[in-house]
Amino acid sequence: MLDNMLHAATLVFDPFTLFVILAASVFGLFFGAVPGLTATMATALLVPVTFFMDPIPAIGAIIAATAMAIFSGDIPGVLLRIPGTPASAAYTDEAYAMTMKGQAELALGACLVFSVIGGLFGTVVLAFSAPLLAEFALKFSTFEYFWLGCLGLTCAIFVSRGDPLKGVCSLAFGLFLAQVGIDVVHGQPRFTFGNINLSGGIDLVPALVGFFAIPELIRNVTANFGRVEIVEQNITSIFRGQWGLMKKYPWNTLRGNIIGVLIGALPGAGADIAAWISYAVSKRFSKEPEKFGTGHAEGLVDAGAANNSALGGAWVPALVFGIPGDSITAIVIGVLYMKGMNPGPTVFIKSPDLVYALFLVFFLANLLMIPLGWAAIKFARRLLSVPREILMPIILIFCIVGAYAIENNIFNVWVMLWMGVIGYLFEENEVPTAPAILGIVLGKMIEENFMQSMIKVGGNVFGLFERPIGGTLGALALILWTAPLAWILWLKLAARRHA
Amino acid sequence: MRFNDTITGAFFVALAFGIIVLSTGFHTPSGQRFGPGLFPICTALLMGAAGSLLVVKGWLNRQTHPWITLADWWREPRLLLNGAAIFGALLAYLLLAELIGFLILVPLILWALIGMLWGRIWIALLIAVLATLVTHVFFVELLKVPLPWGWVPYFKLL
Repeated sequence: MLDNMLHAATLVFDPFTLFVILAASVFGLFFGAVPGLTATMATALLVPVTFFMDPIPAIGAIIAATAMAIFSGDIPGVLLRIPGTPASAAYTDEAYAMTMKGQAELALGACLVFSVIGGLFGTVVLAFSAPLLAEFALKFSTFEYFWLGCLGLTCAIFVSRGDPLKGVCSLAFGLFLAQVGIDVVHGQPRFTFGNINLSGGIDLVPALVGFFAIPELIRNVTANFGRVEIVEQNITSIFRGQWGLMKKYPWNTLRGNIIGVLIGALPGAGADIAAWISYAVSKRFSKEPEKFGTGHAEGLVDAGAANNSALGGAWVPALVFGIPGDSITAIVIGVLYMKGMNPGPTVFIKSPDLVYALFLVFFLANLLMIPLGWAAIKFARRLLSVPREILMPIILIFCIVGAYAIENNIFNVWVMLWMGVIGYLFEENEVPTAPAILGIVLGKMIEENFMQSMIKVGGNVFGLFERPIGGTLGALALILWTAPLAWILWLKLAARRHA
Repeated sequence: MRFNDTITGAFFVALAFGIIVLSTGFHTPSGQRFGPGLFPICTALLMGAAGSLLVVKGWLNRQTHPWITLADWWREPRLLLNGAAIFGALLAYLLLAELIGFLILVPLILWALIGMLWGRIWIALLIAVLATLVTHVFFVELLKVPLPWGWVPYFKLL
């Protein structure tokens, strides 16, 4: 174990890896701070670049960029009342109200300090729970993975925001996309229409770049680029008053961290949902709920910690089972496969050094957030003044080159374009995108595990329930699928009885 | 562009129908109960069921939810042009990049887009050229991505 840890340290503290982490951190800070650019978009655009790196710098770049982006999304929230990323939206009004009270310094400091605490908490949970879960998951076979995949997809529907019917449509659309290409079990081409480029299936990276980046580009260029009016306030020492907040709200910090990790680990729910729930819980159990909305730091403590701890939480199912906790880990799973670090319990046995290195990168990125976050706050005025009119076209070119670079194939740029159009229409019509992404990532895994299971049990569907863990997971999935229908029927019967 | 749920649902129902039609043609190997069409058909049934319920829901709400609601930017020609320009730029790259080459086409695309969105034509040109060169050096020379050369003869900057 010590050997693996030492090797992990040499991998992480390699000058190139450190340079990549630093550069990705700056990239993430920038993307988070500019309203309209999100952590998911930053991740999607990083993938083509990480394609050419070794596993640890590649994964390190994504971890660092996302952690920084989630924090720096708070900066425009505090100074402009515009959340930089969706993860900051829950407490933007509260943070801006603090600014209006002359407490911008305290609000920015709280966002930074509790983001770091949340990030470190998420990392500790990841580092301790993932190996334990992986040991348990070693008992899993194709039956358990089939049911786990099904549970992951079900969860994505339950936790996605908006109309569940649209969530189901989105999921089915993602599953359909996963089926395009030659079926690996039977060798049958499906939905390829004779196009050789579709034989290998739809590449995840151009699809994700299209799905996430193009709608945001459209949204940005079709909005009026107003002049950014930053509140004039002297920001000298952002760390002043933070110790007081930590002493005053220790339980809030812990609660925000725990909620963040748990929500993050649920497939389909990410940092944004964690922040919303954590903020609501904070208000519900506060001794001073009447102060919420007037510039009260309590909600910031809870939600600021929650959205960063959610990042670590989302990695637990992604690393142990290959089931993404959010859109970012959905992209990460694609990167892990590209790097030969196939997620699953065996990665802890085959490449323990890489797993330890990954944990180390998490710690490093969150600690780096203190100086880099401080610098980002200091340069916030310049960061927020970068004209989006210049940024958006350059990002478009990055999207094109990024989609092309994965296979050096112009067809992937077409995929990006079409996925962009679909992603835009989905967003406009409030069809959630997270279930579709989970469908694309998990579709193949579920089908392959089902087919292999059926070969093992001679085509007997009840064989899926024969193993104890598989049977339990299967029963749980069936309960989740039938419970909403049973609930509706019960309500109708109860209403009829009362009438 | 927001559609009434009836239209959204109908799109998914139509897609589900298409998937089922295509999937029934997949060959199931002899001696196997489950063939390559099983999952697509299950997916289509799920999509079709949810889509049908959306159709019903949209129909019941048709008085309050119009069939098509255009976002505000569709009514403002300048913003509409901005949105169209993004797709136009993408299409231009897709259709012309192999012929003309990255180093000629991309500065033109960037110049047009930045100039249109920002307005400062000459600074936009400078930014377009610089951004193209940086992207070229990063992807072509450092990451060895063979971006199309088109009319430009091969050269190395670094």
